[in-house]
Amino acid sequence: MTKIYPQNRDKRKKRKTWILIFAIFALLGATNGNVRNFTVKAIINVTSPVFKFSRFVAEKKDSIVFLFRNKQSMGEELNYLREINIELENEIILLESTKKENEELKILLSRPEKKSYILGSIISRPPQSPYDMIVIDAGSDAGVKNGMRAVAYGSVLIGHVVEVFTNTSKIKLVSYPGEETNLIMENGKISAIGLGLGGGNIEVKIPSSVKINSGDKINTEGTSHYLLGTADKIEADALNPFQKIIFRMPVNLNELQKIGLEK
Amino acid sequence: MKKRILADMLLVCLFLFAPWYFTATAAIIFILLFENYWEGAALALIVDSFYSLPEISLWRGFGFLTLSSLIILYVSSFAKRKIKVL
Repeated sequence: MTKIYPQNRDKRKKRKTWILIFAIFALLGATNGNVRNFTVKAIINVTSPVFKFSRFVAEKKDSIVFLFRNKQSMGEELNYLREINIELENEIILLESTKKENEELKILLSRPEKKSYILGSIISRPPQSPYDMIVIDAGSDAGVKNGMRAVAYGSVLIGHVVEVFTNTSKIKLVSYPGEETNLIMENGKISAIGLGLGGGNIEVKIPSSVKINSGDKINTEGTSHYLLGTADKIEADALNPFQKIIFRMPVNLNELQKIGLEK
Repeated sequence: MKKRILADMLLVCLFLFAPWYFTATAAIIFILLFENYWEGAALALIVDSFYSLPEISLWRGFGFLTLSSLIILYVSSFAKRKIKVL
């Protein structure tokens, strides 16, 4: 027979109490929405300054590492960026005329485009977060509301606001598993529903008869649309009446620092 | 005790700077190594609060990490106790 000493009994009692406290707390969080909100709010308010500080440290680290980078690789990168810059300058010339034409048409059709944004800095992003979620440092104090669209570089839709706190907000990305987004395949002129797959990937199913090429633009539906991505992987089967298109968000979340929330 | 504090510090650093799967792996290892490693469960609760959504059906988003860490914690402490008795 095992003899239980008083000190061991105390230890066991303590452990059981802790488990009970935690279980009750977690159960309340699981069943009661208010308790969950209170817990999440308290934890986010306490931890978000730590996150902001960690982002600051990470940025400083990057700038220090940058100083010690190989000179040759820097030169190669510089040449590559110069080439890209020339390409982009040419594209801008074309885009400017299209933009002007678009604005004129909208005025003609009495649909003037007046967009304003709330700027927010990303304090946490995948793969730090286990889900396709980002946390930004703008909250209800800055006028953020649930459902606001999150836009990167002024033209790319990345998600929408799902939870707002005083100084922080959670943004669910369009690639969140199961998340549905209405979209239009620009070249195919067909609307479809994009289904988030996680890890920045989105899947669309459209009839096989619609001709889609790799690199075709995919936009959101609506008069003032946003870019969602470009067709990446096309899976077509002769026996299947539908073809599957998988694409990624066109932004690198690791490089993205600020995003705009459409008012 | 020193080792435990170092483990705590490492876990916090991983949470702040590393991908979530590194943090999760480290938390599981520490739960198995140390006795009653409640810090792991507390961190899981923080991560879930930070990233979960209310619309997630399993424990309102607290199921993925918090619940699993509690289960691992309980099972490991139970197993350790049994092994010691044997």
